[in-house]
Amino acid sequence: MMGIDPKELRERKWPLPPFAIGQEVADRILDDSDVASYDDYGEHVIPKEGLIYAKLPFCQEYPQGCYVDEGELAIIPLEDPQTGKQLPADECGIVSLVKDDQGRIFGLSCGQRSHLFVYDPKSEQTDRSVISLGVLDGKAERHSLVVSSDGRLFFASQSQEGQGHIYRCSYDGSSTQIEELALPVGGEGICALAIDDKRNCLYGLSDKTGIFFVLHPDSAKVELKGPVDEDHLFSPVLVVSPDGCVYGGRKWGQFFKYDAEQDAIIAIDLEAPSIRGRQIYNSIDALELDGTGRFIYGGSSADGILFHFDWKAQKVIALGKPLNQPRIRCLAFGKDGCLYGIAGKECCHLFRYNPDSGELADLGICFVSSPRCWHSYEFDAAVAGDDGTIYLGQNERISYLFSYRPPE
Amino acid sequence: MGTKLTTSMTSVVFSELPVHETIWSITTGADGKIYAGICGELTGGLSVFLVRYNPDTARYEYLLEVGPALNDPANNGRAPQSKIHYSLIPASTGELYCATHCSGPPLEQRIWRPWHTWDDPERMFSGFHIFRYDPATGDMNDFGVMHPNEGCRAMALAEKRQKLYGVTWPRDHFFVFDIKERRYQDLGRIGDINPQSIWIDAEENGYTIDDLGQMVKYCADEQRLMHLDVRIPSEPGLPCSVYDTVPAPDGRGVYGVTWNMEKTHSPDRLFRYDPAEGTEGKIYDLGPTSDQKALNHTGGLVFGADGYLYYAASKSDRKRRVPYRMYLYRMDVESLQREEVCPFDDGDWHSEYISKATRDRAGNLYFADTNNRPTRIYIYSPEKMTVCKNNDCQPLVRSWG
Repeated sequence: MMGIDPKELRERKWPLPPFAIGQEVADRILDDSDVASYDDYGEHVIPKEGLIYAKLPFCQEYPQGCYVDEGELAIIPLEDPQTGKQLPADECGIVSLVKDDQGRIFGLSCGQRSHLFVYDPKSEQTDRSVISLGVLDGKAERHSLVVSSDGRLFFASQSQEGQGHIYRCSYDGSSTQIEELALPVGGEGICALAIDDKRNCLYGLSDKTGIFFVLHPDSAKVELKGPVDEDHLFSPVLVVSPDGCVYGGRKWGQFFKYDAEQDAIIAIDLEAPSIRGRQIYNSIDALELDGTGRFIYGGSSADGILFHFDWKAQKVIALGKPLNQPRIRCLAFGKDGCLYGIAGKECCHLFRYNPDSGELADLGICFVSSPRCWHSYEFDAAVAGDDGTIYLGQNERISYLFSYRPPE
Repeated sequence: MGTKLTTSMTSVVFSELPVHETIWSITTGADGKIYAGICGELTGGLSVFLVRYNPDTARYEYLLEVGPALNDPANNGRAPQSKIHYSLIPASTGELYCATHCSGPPLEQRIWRPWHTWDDPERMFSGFHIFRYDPATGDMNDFGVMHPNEGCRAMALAEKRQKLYGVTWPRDHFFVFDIKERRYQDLGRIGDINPQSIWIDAEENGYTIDDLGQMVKYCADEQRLMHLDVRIPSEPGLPCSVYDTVPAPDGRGVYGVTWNMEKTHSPDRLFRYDPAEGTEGKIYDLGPTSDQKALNHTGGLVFGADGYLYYAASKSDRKRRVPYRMYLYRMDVESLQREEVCPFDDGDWHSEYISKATRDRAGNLYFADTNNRPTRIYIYSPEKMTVCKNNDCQPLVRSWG
């Protein structure tokens, strides 16, 4: 016989429902609102007499409990000022954010095309909207944006056509000039860029073989220093320490440094933390220098572990794992001295680490209900504004610039 | 047109499933029988059942308990395969294409949300399956888990292209599943709150509406999503999407109804969309579905053999958990005149919420009820009936959920 014997279903012991619905309801307790919501999981219904329900406690905090509920979250649309429309889907995923010396937030999106944009928190004229500064044609998955202490912008592309370019951009508040500066590694894109203001040079990594290079922006001269790892396994991150060394990740989350004095790439016998046995899945997702210049904070990809690297003492300390997911995708230090970051793969959470107390706190999923309901599931860029606001770059098919103002 | 009104409803009550409380999916198979997914989303640890109702014998059968059949039993502690939402689709071969959905809690839990258990191996939803079921033989072909943690809210079948188009919940990603290649392609998110309907045109392009009321097209030849400069009738700035769509009898488009997400007081409106008009197609606003000004719901769109567009629309009853009583309406889509036909009341229960509808070859209309135990299908028989012979009008209603 095909199918299920109805007798078996009639005799089956079914779970007891937790509350009354439909014809089991005798009455409803109305709340003050003029909208009778029914997504209440039975809190407002009175069952008919004689009916029995499972005694399962209802946690009032549960439905909203996963969302950021301390501080203020807002979304800033990436609008094209000429059309007034939001940047097209598939072009607005934000992959890089920086702040310049005037407190302006610059960003780069990626997708079918890429957009360079600026958001000026101080300008009333912007009306919380973003000004598009230029468009890069060609499908791209990642870009790196850096700014010098005197406000010069540089960005590097990692496009599907393969060839990565480095551009210099100047923006005077009304007009933008973008000029191509260099094509550092033939046939390869650029997956990471860092700037050393003191030496007036840029450092980068090619995306296929991990070739480390130095670019002198004034002359546009590129020096190729060779691959950071003989197996071409590396992390798409670079950070410059106060002593002028450049740190990054080679295979399996192991550190390397480029020592500018010695002009040498040096393997370091330290690695980003991972769950034991999972080292070969690991790389470094994000690196951020703290305000003291002593610690480089980072996140590991395989297991989403936050760590700091004391570059002077040559020591790595695991600080904890904010989420039950892999990845720590971006980090930024707030004005309050805390480190804010995004953890997770497909359902990211904002977290906060307080270096003074050692508290690592999951703040939750970023969700806003105005001007539209909007969850952000993935972020790939973070930067702190002058007033302590943390700006987060969402990277999905449809994306917004998020601002998070921590509680005072 | 101008037929006399029958003003009574009958029903089929699935009393063998005393705790299941919702039917989100209902369709007519190539065999002329009615298929539905009996879902359990308000009690923990329930799997969706696939049922078949034979209009000729007025008997029904439980064909499949879906969770165990997918090796994901409902009592395993994780969020169960509790629903087939708007994702039960008849193929011309007689088979049914189904995608599963979640939101029912794990066993002995009162509530569950996917965000809270993301990648929690003990409580998460293992992910929606797409499967093909042959009701003639009982054979099931499981294509596997499409995406962990996510369910499928709505799906359409592009049968000539052998593809399925759908949206996931909660992340609202549009997907294409290539049946021949068994390849799942995630095209990224289209909004935040899911649409409740995805439909296709004659070329089997896919269409849906984002949560701001804007049309999204999946261009099948170019294999990409496009956001069209076409909006369904809705108040700008308020969240709005689509709840239900049915093919136009003239074959040139669809009739649909807006969805205010039951969050706003904007009345649901009927619309017609002709994809061939202009460069991006044209929307015609056919007006509100009823005179209700308060929070309302409209679903269950189906064309009768008499040419009327039948649908279910709510009136308020704030004493109820779902604060509605549903009424059957019909609209003459030429004159746009609408009239109330009768309440969804079988003498035992006046429905709180009707989801979708279908019809049989004899012209009887079937409406899926939700939010009551045990759950049921309401049957309405318009006076003018047209017999549709075997497979001469497949799909009888639509090739989407």
